[in-house]
Amino acid sequence: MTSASAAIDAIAVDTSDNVATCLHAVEAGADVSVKSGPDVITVTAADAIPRGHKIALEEIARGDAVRKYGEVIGKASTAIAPGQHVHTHNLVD
Amino acid sequence: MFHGYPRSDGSAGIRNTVGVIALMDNVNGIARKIAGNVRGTELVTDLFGRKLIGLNHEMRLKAIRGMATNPNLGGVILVTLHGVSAETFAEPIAAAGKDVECVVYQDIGGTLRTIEQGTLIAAKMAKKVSGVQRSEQPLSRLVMGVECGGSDFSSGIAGNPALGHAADLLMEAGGSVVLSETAEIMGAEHLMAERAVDDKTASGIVDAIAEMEELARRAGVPDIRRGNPSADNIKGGLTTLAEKSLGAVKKGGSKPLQGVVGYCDPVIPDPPGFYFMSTPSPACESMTGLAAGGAQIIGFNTGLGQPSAHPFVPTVKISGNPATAGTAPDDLDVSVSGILTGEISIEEGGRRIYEEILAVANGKATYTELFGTGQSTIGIAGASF
Repeated sequence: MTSASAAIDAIAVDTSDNVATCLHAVEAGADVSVKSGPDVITVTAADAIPRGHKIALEEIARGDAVRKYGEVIGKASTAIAPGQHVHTHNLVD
Repeated sequence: MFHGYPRSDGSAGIRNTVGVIALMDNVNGIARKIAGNVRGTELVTDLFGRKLIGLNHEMRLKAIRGMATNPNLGGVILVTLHGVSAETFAEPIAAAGKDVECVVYQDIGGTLRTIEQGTLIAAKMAKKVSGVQRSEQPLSRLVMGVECGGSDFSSGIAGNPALGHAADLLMEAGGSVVLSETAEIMGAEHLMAERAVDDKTASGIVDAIAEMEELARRAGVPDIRRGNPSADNIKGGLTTLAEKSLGAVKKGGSKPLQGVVGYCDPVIPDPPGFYFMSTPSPACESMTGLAAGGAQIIGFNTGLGQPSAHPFVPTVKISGNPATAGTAPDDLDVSVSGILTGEISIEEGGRRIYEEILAVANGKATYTELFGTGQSTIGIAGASF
């Protein structure tokens, strides 16, 4: 039901998501613990990311779908590297 | 299976309330006194009810008839100014098999006499209704509305997905779920349409949005999509309209869409499953539609806290925000804030909500029932979205 550590920094709503939502502000270079289904994975933040904002969990090519809640919420307007902040500058409808 | 009150039309209530409904705003005070005098009653008051025309008149008729025939009511007292208005409503309510009595001010004469006679009528009905016993009912007779209000960053990633998981569990067990709030599915309507079981249902979703956009244009708002997500939403981390809408749609679960109904139209759960009702998005207007549609229970997720509930429909309050769980413990029937602290999974949160939904269906009280703070509001077409 839950894996050992309760200290998580971000949550992926669905295991198929390629972004997660940060639960508090994270600094560039910080290791971010992301809860995804039963697992907790670690991604290194490439940018400073505010609370409630999205962090990329994997590489997303320009034009590829950005997935949150197991659904497509838009596409990458530029190549996105793991750990980067995903928002209006690189995600469009 | 749940234990509910059998009704003559084949439905089952999870409560056995006498509804006291004011048919005009001028008798709201009298209706409030009558309901206050008799335990076992719940009050619905009126606003803007007189002299409505066109679509709003039709909506009000459906809303009151629908609420009066909700399975949670064992009987209905209609409080009104004159006999004509009483008959307009009493006939279809009685024809639907519901016990109905009218308290008519101009026939009785005088505020105090109307309150006195109304109180006696309500007490007699409440006494009769109290003799009905709960019995085993299949979950195919349980319809849950899903709602969210006072949303924040926790809503889309914790509370709504957990409520959606509870919705899936209810539907897998044979029950039905109704999602509402048309403005909040904009940007996700193509995904809703893809979930539809047939073309008619898919076009029902598209039509509901087109109708609302047309009402908005007539009200002088050319594009209600513009400005969504709002500057506040963007600051909070939401990027696209689809992202915002999908966060709201998530609370309805993931099952195929069986049908689309208009505001306050009956939701007939045949087959049981997932339905959509086109409603305004403010919670009180939306929940009034769900109550009129026949939902017996509402699952309501809030981020920052939101105290509303429908007087006739037990409303189970949920939050995934740890701060809200701390500041509003008297408003939350289920906290799933452990999702954001990593203590529980979304699925575990959903299981906790589902258990509470079934417990409330079987008679456990919600906080808003205990406080008596429910509010019913009939939406105004073209004036709120």
